[in-house]
Amino acid sequence: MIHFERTVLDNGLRVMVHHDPASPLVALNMIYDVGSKDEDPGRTGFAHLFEHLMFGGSVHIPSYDTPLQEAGGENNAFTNTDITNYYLSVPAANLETGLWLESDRMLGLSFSEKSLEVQRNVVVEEFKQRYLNQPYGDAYLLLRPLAYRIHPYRWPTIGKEIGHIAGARLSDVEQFFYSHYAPNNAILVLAGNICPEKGFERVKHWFGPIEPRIIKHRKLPPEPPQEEPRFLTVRRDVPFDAIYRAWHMPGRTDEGYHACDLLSDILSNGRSSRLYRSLVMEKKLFSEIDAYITAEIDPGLMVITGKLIKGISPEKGNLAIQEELEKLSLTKPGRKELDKVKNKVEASLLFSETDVLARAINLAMYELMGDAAMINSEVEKYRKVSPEDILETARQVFRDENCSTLFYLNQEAKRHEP
Amino acid sequence: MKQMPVRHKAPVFGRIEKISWPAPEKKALSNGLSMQVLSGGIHPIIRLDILFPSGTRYTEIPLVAQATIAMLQEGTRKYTASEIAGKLDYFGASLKTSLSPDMAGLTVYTLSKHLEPVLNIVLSMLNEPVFPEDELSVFLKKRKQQFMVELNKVSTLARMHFAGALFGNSHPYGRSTNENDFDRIRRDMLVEFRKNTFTGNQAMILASGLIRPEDIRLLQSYLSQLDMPEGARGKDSFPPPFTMPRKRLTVLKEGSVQSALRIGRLLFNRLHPDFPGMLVVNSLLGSYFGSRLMKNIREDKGYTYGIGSFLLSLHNGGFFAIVTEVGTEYTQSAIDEVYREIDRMRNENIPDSELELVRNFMMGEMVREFDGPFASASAYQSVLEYGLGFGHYDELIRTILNITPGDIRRLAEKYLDPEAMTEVVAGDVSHQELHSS
Repeated sequence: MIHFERTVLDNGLRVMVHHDPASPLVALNMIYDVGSKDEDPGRTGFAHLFEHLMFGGSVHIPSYDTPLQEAGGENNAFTNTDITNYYLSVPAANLETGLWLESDRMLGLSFSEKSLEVQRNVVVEEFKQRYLNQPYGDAYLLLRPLAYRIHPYRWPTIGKEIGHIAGARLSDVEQFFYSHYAPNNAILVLAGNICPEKGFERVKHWFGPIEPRIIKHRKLPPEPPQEEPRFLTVRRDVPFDAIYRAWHMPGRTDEGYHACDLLSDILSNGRSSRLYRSLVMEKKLFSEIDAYITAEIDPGLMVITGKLIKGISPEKGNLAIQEELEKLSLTKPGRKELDKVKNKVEASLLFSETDVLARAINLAMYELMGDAAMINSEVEKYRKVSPEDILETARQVFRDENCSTLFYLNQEAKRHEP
Repeated sequence: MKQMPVRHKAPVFGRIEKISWPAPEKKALSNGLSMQVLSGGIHPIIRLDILFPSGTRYTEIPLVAQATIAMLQEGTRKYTASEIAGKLDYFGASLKTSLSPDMAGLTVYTLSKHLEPVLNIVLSMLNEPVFPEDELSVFLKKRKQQFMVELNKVSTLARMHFAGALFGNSHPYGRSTNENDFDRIRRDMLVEFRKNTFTGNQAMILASGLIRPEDIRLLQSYLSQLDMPEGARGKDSFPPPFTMPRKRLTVLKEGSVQSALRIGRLLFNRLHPDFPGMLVVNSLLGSYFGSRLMKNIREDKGYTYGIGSFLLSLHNGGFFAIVTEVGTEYTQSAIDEVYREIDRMRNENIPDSELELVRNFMMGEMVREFDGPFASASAYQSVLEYGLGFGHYDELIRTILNITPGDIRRLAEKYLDPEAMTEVVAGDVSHQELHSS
């Protein structure tokens, strides 16, 4: 049970405090309700580039990192399709430093042309390091636009292409800030050695004077239902053939989300899971195989990826995956198997909350999805899923016409050409 | 009247001078071993670490150490691999294995309410593994493919060649694996290695989490049954590493859009009197976001997504390394800048304000290292394997708070001599394109 208290400032900033007197730290987490899904399709990768620029200096503070390090603090940030999330942790006595820094960059940015130029380069190198210079690194750059045709989830957070990042201008950046960064578009959580009264009082002091801004209502085009199976084959300089498959599934707050999550766990969470036992250990077709969900707020994807054992054709591997999916669409799982994946979820939720920073991030995320209190009822939602729900979900999700398949093949092995 | 926030100057902050850590409780086991208990946390969950001096250095045959620790969960006299996996998954427990050049270990996370059945499985894995042939062959095939994927990463190539270049390719700390090694492993090698090195009498055991008296009783009763064979520890011949003056190794990977760099040298482990001081030197140079390498090579030049440095402590030595991946076209410039920063550390006193900053940052890091019982357990483990206790952290703190700019320059002069550095560059760079800096 994670205890917390919640308030909303007059300027619209939603604030929560979770008190853990045993921790020597306070973690501060700030979600801005803006992700790569809010980008212009002609200028993708912008939300993430912007995250980098948030460290380049604000109205009163030339460098974000130095004063925080002086106060013994540490920080980082991440961007995904839905949100941009900033977090820091400081020794509890130095919370003021964190609030001063975080409030000043909500107030306004003040970075230079040079800072933009350098961060453009840094992000270009990040693009290379994580996506272009890794074996199989561009698979998700290919899979997203295959699965989505309309919705902005069709491009990855890093951006469609390097050119979009390299072309970002200072004026774009300013406009982005004022349309998305505002107290009334953010959620702040303090977690650790701070009591709620004191926490609220200090947050009000630092953030209260910041004026709300006009935030355009988000109107994203929903992805129309997929009506035919999609296939893509690429050849790359990789040692082994790999398969990536994606099916559309409900969004994070939709009915049916939890059943989908458990369905993916039955397939591949743990060494007793079906895909691992059957396709890796028994049939020896794959060297690794994984099923997971993207857990995005708008309808996301269930993904299965596997690397084939040398000599096994992708068609044969794919057929074996298909057989496992058909079993799930024909017969509901046994009680014991379902209890197993539920127990695992329950344990991993507990283990993920051992440090105060993780608790702060989770609370903010649940609040964004509608109510921070969901952090304590999540297990219950998983517990309620029945074997019949899993069967129904498998039938709904694993339809051929709902699936996009990417064969990512070794470029020398032309023999499998259909 | 309401006070407006003062934004033009930083709020007053406190300097951290003392860190509190949980007192480990030593509990005796009836087989003569002992277990360290670190209690705390808000959830009824337990982490158990059991480590043996069974690292890669204790066998000359590549992959034997890797396969032995990994295969403990692939079948025992009591349970098949699939039963072990099924039971652990059912109880929501998770099992991780770890392997370093010195140690091999199991880490289990479990809900307290399932501690007993989980202990039952762990004990069987340690006391009576059978290393079944079929599981072994799947394991080797799988790992071989993963290894071959790794060989396509410049970061992996640089790491592998760096260890060999530092210690020598046949040295226990420098040996690396190649593709064919996977075909040479036989079951009896694992049996032999386990018999000789996974000896209960040298096990290091730590339990952490919200641990109740009844959990301690269970842990004691199960772990007291851990087998205690003497073990005929394989010959651990430990030749001195060969060191050569400044040298560069390039590993060609055509078409790579980035180069992976490793620059560093042999050094010492945490038992050396200069280790705490070198931790400070290392922090200043490359171990935090505001470090000189990050500030110059990422935040000023934009050559890389990240650059860092670290000190690695091993039971019989250690090394210092700078690690980064940079755009192929920036390879030479990045190397030049690395040496420029090293020279500055050796030739100029660092400003007091920068030292003060790194002191505070390192003390903050230390606070984070003790956030919660699991974090504390990891911190404790890393000193316990050197026969040290939390007192070692007191010494680190004393050094962090009292070291002077003069001390730092002397340490940098002594240990960061460019002539002693080994460089590995992996990427689309031929030897000729790079000049010596």
